[in-house]
Amino acid sequence: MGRFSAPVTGESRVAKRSIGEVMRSIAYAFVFTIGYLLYSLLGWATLNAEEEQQTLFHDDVFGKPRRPGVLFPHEEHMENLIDAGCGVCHHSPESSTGRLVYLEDDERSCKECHGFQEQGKRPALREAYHGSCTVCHRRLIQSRSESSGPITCGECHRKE
Amino acid sequence: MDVYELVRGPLAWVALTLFAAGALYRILMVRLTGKSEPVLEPWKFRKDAVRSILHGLIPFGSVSMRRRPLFTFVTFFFHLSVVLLPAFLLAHIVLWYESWGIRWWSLPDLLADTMTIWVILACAYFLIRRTFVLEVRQVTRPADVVLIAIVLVTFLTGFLAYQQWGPYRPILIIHILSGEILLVLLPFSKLSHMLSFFSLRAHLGGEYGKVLGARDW
Repeated sequence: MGRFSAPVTGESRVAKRSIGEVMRSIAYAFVFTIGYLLYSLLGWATLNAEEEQQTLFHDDVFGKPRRPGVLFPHEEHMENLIDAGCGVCHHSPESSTGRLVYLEDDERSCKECHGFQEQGKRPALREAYHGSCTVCHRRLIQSRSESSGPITCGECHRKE
Repeated sequence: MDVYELVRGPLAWVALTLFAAGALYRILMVRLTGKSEPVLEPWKFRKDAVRSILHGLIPFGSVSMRRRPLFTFVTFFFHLSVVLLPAFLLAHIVLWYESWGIRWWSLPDLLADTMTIWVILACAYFLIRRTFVLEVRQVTRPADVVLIAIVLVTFLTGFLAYQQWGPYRPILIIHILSGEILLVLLPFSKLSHMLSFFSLRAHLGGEYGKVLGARDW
């Protein structure tokens, strides 16, 4: 060995840097804990939002539906359409003219009017839903909106 | 732009336009450049032509089909499925209505599933045949393998997307994209037998009957 200094062993390296390492570990642990708490908070918030979802699965209209039911977050839509109004989806024929208008406090679900088959100009329930959901979401994407809803089959009709 | 919107919108239009233009070009080329010889008994030519088409359409209707029963069985339902599925699948019908407001009846899901699996297995069978059966391997070019592979990818991703197995969106995008590639390639590759089947069989049937007094089936 002579004039060369002794090689630093693993043990001595730990001993030299131990205080620094411990402090750094605490810092990491702190950041990790805060991060984890925020993450779980986010998860909890999403979970709560999901509770406001309705499942659309109309076996009374479709008999045996050929695709899985759709989870529809009604609250989220109410918040996002606060300016546009409920009439974006909810419409009823005006008694005098038959024109489709939004009647406050008379919001009906789609299937009250739209049935299994189309009737004249009134589309069938399947087309009414797709015409409202998919068409609106695609329009949002095409207008480069920051967020839009799902537009493909399997993103709404999720298999378990 | 959203990738799904891209393949669903503009690229679909590009594919459909190229397919329509290519198909028109191929059909017109045959019509305009093909010369029909003056024949002694034209009604006989027509009769042989129609008989040849019918024998080509009916399973086991020709000698070559009877010589390869397994291949005939596989390929008959393969072709039936490949033609019917794209037009009569429920998911496709929903998209057609969304785009153009047109609607017709759809295949039951279980039947559509069976047909899709048939197409996938048939493609695997064709690939194996092209690799291991000597007389088929001798006439196989790389392009033939590629065409079968694209058909396989299109129907496999379609099946996976319906079952929602694997990453849904990427699979759906690959499904649409490979379908569009198929559409574009169709008029300009061996897949054009979809367009030329009738005229080809009519021509051969007529020629055999006219010149040799023989059948071509």
